[in-house]
Amino acid sequence: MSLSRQLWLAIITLTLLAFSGSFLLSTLTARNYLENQLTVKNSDNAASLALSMSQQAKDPVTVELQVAALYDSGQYALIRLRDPDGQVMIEKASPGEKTVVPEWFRALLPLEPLPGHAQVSDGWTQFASIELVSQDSFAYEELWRGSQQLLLWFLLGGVLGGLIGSLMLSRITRPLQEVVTQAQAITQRRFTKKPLPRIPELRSVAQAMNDMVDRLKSMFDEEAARLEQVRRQANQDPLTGLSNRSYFMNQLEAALQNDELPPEGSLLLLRIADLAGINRRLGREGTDELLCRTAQALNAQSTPEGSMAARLNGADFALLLPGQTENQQLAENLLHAMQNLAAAGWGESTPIAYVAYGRYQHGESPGQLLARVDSALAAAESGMSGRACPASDSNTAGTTSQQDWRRILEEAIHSQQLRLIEFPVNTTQGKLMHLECPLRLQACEGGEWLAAGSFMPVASRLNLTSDLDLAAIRMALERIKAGIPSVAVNISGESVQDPDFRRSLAQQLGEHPECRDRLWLEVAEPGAFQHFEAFSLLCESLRPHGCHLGIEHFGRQFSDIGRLHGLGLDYLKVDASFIRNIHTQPGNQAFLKGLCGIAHTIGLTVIAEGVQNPEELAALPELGFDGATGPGIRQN
Amino acid sequence: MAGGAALALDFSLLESQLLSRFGPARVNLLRDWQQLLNSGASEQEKLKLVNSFFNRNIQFDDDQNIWNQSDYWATPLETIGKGRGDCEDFALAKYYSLLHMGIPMNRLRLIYVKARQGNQQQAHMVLAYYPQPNATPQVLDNLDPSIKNASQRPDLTPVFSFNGEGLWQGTGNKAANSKFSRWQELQMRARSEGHR
Repeated sequence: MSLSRQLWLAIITLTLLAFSGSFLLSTLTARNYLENQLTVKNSDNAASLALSMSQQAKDPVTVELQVAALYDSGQYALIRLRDPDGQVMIEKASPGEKTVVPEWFRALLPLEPLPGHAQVSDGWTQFASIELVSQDSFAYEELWRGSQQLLLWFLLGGVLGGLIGSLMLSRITRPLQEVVTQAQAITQRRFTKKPLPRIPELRSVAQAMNDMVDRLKSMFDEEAARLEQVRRQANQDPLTGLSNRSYFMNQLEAALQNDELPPEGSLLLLRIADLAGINRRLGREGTDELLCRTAQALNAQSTPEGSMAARLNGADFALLLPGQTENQQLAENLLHAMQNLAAAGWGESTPIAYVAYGRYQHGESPGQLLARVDSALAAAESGMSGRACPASDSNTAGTTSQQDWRRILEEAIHSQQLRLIEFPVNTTQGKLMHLECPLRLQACEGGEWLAAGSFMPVASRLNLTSDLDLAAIRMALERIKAGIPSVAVNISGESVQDPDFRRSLAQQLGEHPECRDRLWLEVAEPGAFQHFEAFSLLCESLRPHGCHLGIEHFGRQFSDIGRLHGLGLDYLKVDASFIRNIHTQPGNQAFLKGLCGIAHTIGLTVIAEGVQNPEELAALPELGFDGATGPGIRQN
Repeated sequence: MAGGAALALDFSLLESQLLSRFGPARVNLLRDWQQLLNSGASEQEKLKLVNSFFNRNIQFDDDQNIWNQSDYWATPLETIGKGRGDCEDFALAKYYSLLHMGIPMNRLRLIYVKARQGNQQQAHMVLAYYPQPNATPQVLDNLDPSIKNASQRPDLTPVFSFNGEGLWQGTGNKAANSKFSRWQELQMRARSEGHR
């Protein structure tokens, strides 16, 4: 039985006991009092009638009149005179008066007063004895009315007591409920803290729970900080803090292949001239300083989303700019910044650095692209084409204006020229976990199906992502209904920020309750962390629907993992750049092992993205991954 | 003896009460009374014995002197203990004694009378014995020590009579004493001493 029900029961029992006890007691007391009063009245009235008759003449008329006078003026049930031999001389008796008191009540609480007796004498001789009984209906009425009033007070008091009791109960159970929800949240691995209740017993429980949450949080933060260190060591150039060559190559490969990334972009290379000479002149420390400042200059230019600066080797730096095709100004800016460094004393009169850049499109191999830009850099170094040299373009695609894009997208959404394609996501044992279903869009009837990377950046500029995402989720729900076990769909960062989207999504899920636990929804890492408030609101609004919620392309903002444990997330998909050649990279292995460990403690499933070959796949279970997806994964 | 069985007075209890309340002076009188209650063959004999026992052994005095109260009804034990009593105490002591000796209650009446002594009239109480319900009673009085028929007592005018018949005995609850009549209160005291 629940605590509150038990307390209610106790209150009701106590109230009943107290009131029925006092009810019984006071009713019985009243009954006894009334009975005594009636007896005394019988006795006194008999005596006074006898006294007055003893003084009067004893002729029958006088005697009759005296009895009648008393009988008629008072309330009597019986006045009877017997002569000394016991013969009845006069009897005045009335049947019971009509009364409002029900018969059962009289039977339950009978009034049994004794009749009054007295002797009438005539001089020395006995004349008669009197027996007198008073009418008892008024006493019954008194008792009846009193009981009714008492019962009324009893009911009123009971209701009042119950109300006060329930008020107190809710004061007690409200903080208790808080503690219970906190405990439930912890079992669902949402480590939230609650304000302390005022009741001391509950207060210490809540305090203990809050302390536990604090300890877990600090444990997480420490572990996360340590792993962040590991991640940096594995993927960063130790001097400048930029990405190192191997990490950069992973990213470059992804930029050239991943459909979700923009289909075209640019690569820029920067080489510091005569680093060996600078080293001789400035010494090691001075050279390091120059390299760091160069890195700062590059970082300052890597502003577009998804862009990345890296140090490839000694004097060579690279800047990857997905989605950006106009580079002249950027190259000029870089050179200018480098000239300022030279002027500040680091360079000779010769140019301090050379820059080359080239555009790429999906499908080009990283080697080809690097070769093209590298030869442009060589041309710049040779002085043939200025210090910032554009590489020859492999080919040029027709560009589409923003107005055209809006028309294409709205048309596609309107006529549903959208579809989902499927990639399996398997457990590391090879069983299907779910199908990841990215959105494809047909620009014109019969035309090419475009990948998300081609149209999503434009859609986000045009505020159309919400409609596209909702369409994708609707199609996913249809697929689930058609019998596909589980489907994962992306939600873009822009949609996450849109309150209308969150509302529509919750509504859509509410219409298909049977599919909800088979739907997996994921947001890319930048979208989740850049709009963290909105993302946590989304998590909160989706939690009651029971669908799975995760972050994809996770890893670069690993140090923020501590923020995830209050959200109630279900899974992480680790970015492909960490998985590339994982079997040969001990640094990333250490990082990913730690990541899986920490994610498991907050109940997250961890999935590797972009797995390309059996070697990579084979390395995953030992690191703690639960699942994998990518070109190397086939649906069984 | 007809009366002896009807009453079971605990005389050792009475004696200890007498000793503690009134001292040893009248222990012998109590014992005489005990003997009296067991003697007498006929009702007439009993009447005579009781009447003369009290008229002889109890000295008349008024309540103010005895009890320091204007009017006090004493139980037989109290009357014997004090050795004094007023007219009510005589009548009551005789009434209880005769009841104990087996005289039915309906033959006995306590009667308020007006007593004329010379030119003076005073309120007085006597005990009347009715051999038959309709007969003229015999009067047991302390003013006139011999038992006489009522018709031979022109000095007495009866006003009101009563006995213990039909009288509610009360609940015995002392706290409720105040609402009982003097007669009821006396009966309760008498009962607590061992009388019926």
